[in-house]
Amino acid sequence: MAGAPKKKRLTRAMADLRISSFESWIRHLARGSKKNGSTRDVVADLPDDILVDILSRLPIKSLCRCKLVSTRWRNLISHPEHSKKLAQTLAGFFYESYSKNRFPKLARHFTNVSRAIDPFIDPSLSFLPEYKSIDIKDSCNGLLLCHCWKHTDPATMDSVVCNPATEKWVVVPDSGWSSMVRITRLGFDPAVSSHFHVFEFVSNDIWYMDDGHNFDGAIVAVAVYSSKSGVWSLNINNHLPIPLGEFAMPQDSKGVFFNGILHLTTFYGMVLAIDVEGKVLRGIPFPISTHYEYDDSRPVHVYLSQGHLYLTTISDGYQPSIWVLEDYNGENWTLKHNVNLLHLFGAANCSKVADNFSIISIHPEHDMIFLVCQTNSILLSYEMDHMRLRFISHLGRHYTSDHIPYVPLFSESLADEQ
Amino acid sequence: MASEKKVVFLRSSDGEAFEVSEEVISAASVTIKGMIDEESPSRADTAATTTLAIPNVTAATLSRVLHYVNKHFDAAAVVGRPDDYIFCAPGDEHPLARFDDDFVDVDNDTLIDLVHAAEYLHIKKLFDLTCKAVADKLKGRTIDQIRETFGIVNDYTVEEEVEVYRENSWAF
Repeated sequence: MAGAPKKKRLTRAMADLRISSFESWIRHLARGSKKNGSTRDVVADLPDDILVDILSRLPIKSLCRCKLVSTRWRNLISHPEHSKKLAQTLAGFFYESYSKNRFPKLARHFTNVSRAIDPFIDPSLSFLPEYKSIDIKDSCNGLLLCHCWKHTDPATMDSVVCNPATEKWVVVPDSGWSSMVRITRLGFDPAVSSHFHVFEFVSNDIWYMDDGHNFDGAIVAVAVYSSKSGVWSLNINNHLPIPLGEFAMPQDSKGVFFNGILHLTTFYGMVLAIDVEGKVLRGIPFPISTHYEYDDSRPVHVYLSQGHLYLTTISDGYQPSIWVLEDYNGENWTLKHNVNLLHLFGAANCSKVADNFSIISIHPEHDMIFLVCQTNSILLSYEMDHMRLRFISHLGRHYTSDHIPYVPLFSESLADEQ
Repeated sequence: MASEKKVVFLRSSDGEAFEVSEEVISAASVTIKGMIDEESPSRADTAATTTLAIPNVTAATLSRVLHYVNKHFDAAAVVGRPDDYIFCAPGDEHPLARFDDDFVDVDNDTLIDLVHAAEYLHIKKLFDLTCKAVADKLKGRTIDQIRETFGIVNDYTVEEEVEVYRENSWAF
């Protein structure tokens, strides 16, 4: 680097002055020119470990901004030694595999996406009390929502919200529907509040206790548990504020908790926004022109990335597209990227791959999507800007389709206690 | 056990002595508890009170720290409070939340002095509270505001700054 000799001089000067950091040295120089009683560089006096302790209380977005403050701050934030302490990014995915020819038939795994992070995540969630089986239903900003089935007959279960990074957990009281609902989601944003919400979508067959023959699974009521109040509230969808009539969603519809509002995709071409009272605030139509028909081989999912809602669609010709809702209050999805499969996989493989892959997630901070190619059970990342495909891991032959993204949360005191 | 409450004196860097209950300060500060434990064999049979030198903390800061400690660690004054917000029982309000908010509503220098004191005296709760208060001052401010607030000098070259900005542009 061109600045090397200069750095050497600085080092000597710093040693002479017995001042430990570059900033205090600068301050020392600047002191003469400052007026009496000027701001003292209080932060420069802080040793690195205390400054890291302070930075560890920032959410990821503020943390990334802080890299720009000075080189010392950037170096501290980027240092691998501190990565575990500071706000985290996507670590990887929980997923399950099922095989009749082994014991246990159902197993859970975790695959890392970032090489910087140790494989410290134990997919068995062994810090929880012993249960017969544990289904991870959702993940939101460091917490997992699990249905934990007991060894009882008939089967009963606990809804458990846990933090695998701190190994803390809590049983959510039963809403009365908890063991029956097919769709339940977690809402938690440590940058806003340290309380979480559990959403349960009660479909008409459950509501009317029917065996399912006369009902279509439309959602009759949304039950929401608040960890702050400790109670469930129930919102019955008598009158929706949007021309929906009724709504229903695929079981694997991903929940995005953003600005204190849960977003989910429905069967009917909408992203629904549901507040923590269980009220449907609005429906944002998919960008797909005119007739949208649900097709489970080409699902549409909603994600949160870089502070915006994203939508992934796969067209008739197996063309994956990524859309972004730049103005949250509007309905205009901007086409962010079309994935060119021919370009990525080449003509020879394209036909094999085309109808055999799925988009499973979007990176929360980067222009990167995650794909699973079913043909050979591999997880790939794809950088939209550079159109670069990268192999991440083999998922094994027996993996099942659900991939639950996980962002560890080590510091639970991130929230502003109000 | 002694029927009277034992007290200790803490002498600040600028020579002022503060009286505090031994029980309270031992519960609060790992550092002072260590000092008291070290002293205790020599004073077991004497009624004399101990004075401990706290060379890293000024009188102004020490008096604030003791105000906090007396609020948070005096068993008689403290209502059980959850330290863990997410997994605390529903509806539990932090009874000293208001006190804590007011306590850290101070200028930057005072706050950073408190961070130092909490770290030196090893008072975890106070350290968490003050670090979080500093972090809150960083949240939602522009980079220039952060530099100005804490008097930090921007030592990036223009090229470096542009590069770091580009890498993190989504956060702005």
